[in-house]
Amino acid sequence: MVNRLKFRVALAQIHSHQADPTSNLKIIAETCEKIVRDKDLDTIVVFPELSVTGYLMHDDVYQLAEPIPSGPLCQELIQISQKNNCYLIAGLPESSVPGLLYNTAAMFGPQGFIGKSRKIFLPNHSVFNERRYFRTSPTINIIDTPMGKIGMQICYDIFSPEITRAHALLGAHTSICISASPGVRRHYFETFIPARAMENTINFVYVNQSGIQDDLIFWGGSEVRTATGKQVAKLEYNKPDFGICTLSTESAQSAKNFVPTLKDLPSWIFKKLEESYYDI
Amino acid sequence: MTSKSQTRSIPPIDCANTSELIQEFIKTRVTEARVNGVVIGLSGGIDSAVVVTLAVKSIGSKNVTPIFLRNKNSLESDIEDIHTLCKKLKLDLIQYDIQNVIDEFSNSINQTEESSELAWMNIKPRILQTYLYFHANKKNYLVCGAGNKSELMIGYFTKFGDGGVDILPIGDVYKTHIFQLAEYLKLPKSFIQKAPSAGLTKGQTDEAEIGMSYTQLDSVLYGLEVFQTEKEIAELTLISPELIKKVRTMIYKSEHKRRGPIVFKLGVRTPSIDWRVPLTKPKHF
Repeated sequence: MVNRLKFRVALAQIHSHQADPTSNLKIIAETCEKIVRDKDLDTIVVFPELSVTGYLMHDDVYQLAEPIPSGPLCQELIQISQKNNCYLIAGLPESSVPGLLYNTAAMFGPQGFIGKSRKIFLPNHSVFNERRYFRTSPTINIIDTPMGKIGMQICYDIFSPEITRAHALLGAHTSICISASPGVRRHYFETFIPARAMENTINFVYVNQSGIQDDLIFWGGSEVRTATGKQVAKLEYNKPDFGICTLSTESAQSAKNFVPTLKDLPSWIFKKLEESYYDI
Repeated sequence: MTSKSQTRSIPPIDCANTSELIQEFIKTRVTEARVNGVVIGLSGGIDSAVVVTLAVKSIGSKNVTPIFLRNKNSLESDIEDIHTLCKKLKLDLIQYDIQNVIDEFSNSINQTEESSELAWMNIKPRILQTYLYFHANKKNYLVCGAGNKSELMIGYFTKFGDGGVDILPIGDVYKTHIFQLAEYLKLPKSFIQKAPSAGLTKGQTDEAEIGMSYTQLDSVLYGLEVFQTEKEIAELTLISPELIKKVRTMIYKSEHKRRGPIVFKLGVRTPSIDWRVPLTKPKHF
């Protein structure tokens, strides 16, 4: 009997090959295969943003994007989940109707496709070009899983505290951020990760790409924080690494009893935010 | 002109982290280009000394080929320093005396053409690159340049000369930080103490030619990099508005040197403009 009050998170901080899903699926399969099973706990293996295709695929994205979950890459990811009896979150470019692409986090499990979340904040400054290719998600959602409700966000989404707040308000006990962050942003992420966990009393999982793609180095440094901000996993900087930790689906509740930020959140703030947005 | 002035220096870098990242960059570029190593031109200056040291740490001395090209402006002290460094790094130095090549080339032009001092000065670095690429092609290596961020931003390099390389591992590192890296890497003191010089003419120093110290230059460049206004830079660094303006002018005037050849857009997708592919060929596609 699987204990649904706890689950394991495996941080798969890989170095994706650019525009090469065949090589990346091999890495994803090998990573899942090497995880020692725990008969009492479910395991979610989390891979970085656009880990299936590599982050810097440039114009090759038009060839590589596929419908989720009916596309061939997703079918392979389902098979990997089923073969290894694990849950798997990975990033890949999604094609919706022709010409509409999303930067998407998708979750698969032994039963097949579980759910997906599309990136909301697409950076188009500094070295980033995401709005050139992708459409911003028009919504925030959380995923119903056998381990309870989980929120997924992608990289630059973490810069907006509203995303994790929405995950918590929608009832998620854990927010998972998959990322492809170059080195110069490290101190922002390492500040936001514990902050998002603590201000929303929610478990927070962060998994980053590592290694060099074109002229960028992704800083790795994946980590997990509990709902009280305690760091329970931290991976190496800049290079591929792997780690595993256990999270409780109930720790968010006890954290909320201690720091009831969501209970104390008045709705008028959101109305004011919306009004001020249009006043700018 | 001296590096020491009243100007506030730019924030220091984390030398251990920077050194590690540059080593990773060199290794990745060599691996992904499917080549066997790198060729590096040594001048006797601090930049190429830092780069060759990092390259050896990254891919090992057997995969690094240093080349020194002697000419009439070469200083014996520089040659001695290069030998000391190569011995320390267990490198086999390749040397040529290229003065006769420069003379022959210059004579052939001299008979037919009038040209400026700049045109004459650029002959040497362009000949040097031909030697470097000969050895790179012969050994299936990359040519690794030693240009730093300060020089690149003001165009203090020869287009298709020392600027004509495959990779620039310290191209995003200010000269001020190169000195810090050199200390961290424990380079021989002579590299750190000598006045930086491009060595194109006898007695030339970079700072005299640029018209300001590297401390001043880097302070202005750093301010511009982090989006400070000219007024803010002047207040923070005590550097005159005229000097700041001069740096901005040098940046504009040299932008063409930092870009590849300018392609005129006519098609749907255009090379180097909006036809974008990854730097390396995917294994499967």
